[in-house]
Amino acid sequence: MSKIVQCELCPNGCVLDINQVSRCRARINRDGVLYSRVYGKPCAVHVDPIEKKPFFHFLPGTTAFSIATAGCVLSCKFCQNWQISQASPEDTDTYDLPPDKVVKAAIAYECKSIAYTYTEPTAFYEYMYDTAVIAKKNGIRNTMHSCGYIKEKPLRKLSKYMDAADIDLKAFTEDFYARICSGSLRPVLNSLVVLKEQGVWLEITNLVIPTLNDDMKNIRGMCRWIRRNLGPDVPLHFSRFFPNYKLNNLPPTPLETLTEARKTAMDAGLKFVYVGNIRHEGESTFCPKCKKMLIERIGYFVKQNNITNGKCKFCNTSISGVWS
Amino acid sequence: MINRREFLRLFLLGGIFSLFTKKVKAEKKPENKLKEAMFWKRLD
Repeated sequence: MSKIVQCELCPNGCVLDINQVSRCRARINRDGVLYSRVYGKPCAVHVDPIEKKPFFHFLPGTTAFSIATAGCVLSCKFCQNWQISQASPEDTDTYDLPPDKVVKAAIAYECKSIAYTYTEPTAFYEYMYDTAVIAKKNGIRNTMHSCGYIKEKPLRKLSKYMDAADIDLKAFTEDFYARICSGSLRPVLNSLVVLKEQGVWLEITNLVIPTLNDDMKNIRGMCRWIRRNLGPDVPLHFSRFFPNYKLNNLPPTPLETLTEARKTAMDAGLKFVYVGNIRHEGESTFCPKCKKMLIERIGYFVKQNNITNGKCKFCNTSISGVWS
Repeated sequence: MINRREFLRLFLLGGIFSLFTKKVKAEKKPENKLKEAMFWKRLD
């Protein structure tokens, strides 16, 4: 009998001979069985404001117990966490933190949620899934920041326990995904639709990189797709790029580009469009009806919150999100 | 600066003191137990 295995977790579909490691570096074929190499071994453990993920419509002002292991299913040239996302588990310092201990720590630190973040949680799917099941039983919410590069079956299984997802929609062209991330766009769009359909609270992040994905025609196309397929209430975060990893030759995103992207998205009908990684009025939430400021943010800090029982305090308009 | 005699005295005192302190055994890190992946198949 053959001992060659195929991973069915992400669209990479790695085919592995004995002792071969997957592209994400987190899986290995041992004697014809596929194993996770990172289960219970996070290399990053922090208590973060939920706004850092970023989630702006999910329990604002609370903290998330945030974990990551080594590995990623993509290899983006602009990765902000490449030191761990593009590393092998043996090359990182790890903690011994099985799922039950993650949940206990989240409770001890008074976190309302656990965030699977920093690297790509799909790479540590089993660890995330088992932790999410225990967290749910203990009244702790589960959130993830993911690239959405995952097959539909595992995503649907995970969705039962995932309360919120922030998906990186890195660009709106297959060319960008192929050239810059060594992946493809279509599975990401499918993941967005599946998460929405499964009732997982969804926010989207788009890192705007000068010359690579800052074309307003493409941004308009992306926003129209979001409105048509996910609805106008899905928050969209335009994030400022800073030179990093293999893209050190590009400048930081100009403020004007981010402001224009935000206007383009709002003109396309999206109600909640944010600008991140820079001080900007687009960090705050405004009521789509009366236009008054609902949540004032400075960086990750919530200065004031005028949402009461999920409604605008001034005009009583319902604001989409998970507020309690 | 301490002279040779003072150094020797401290060295011996430290040696005697260490005889009465608790010994910590260096433990070998247990080998990582691998967890079977959830989504995979064997190719025939």
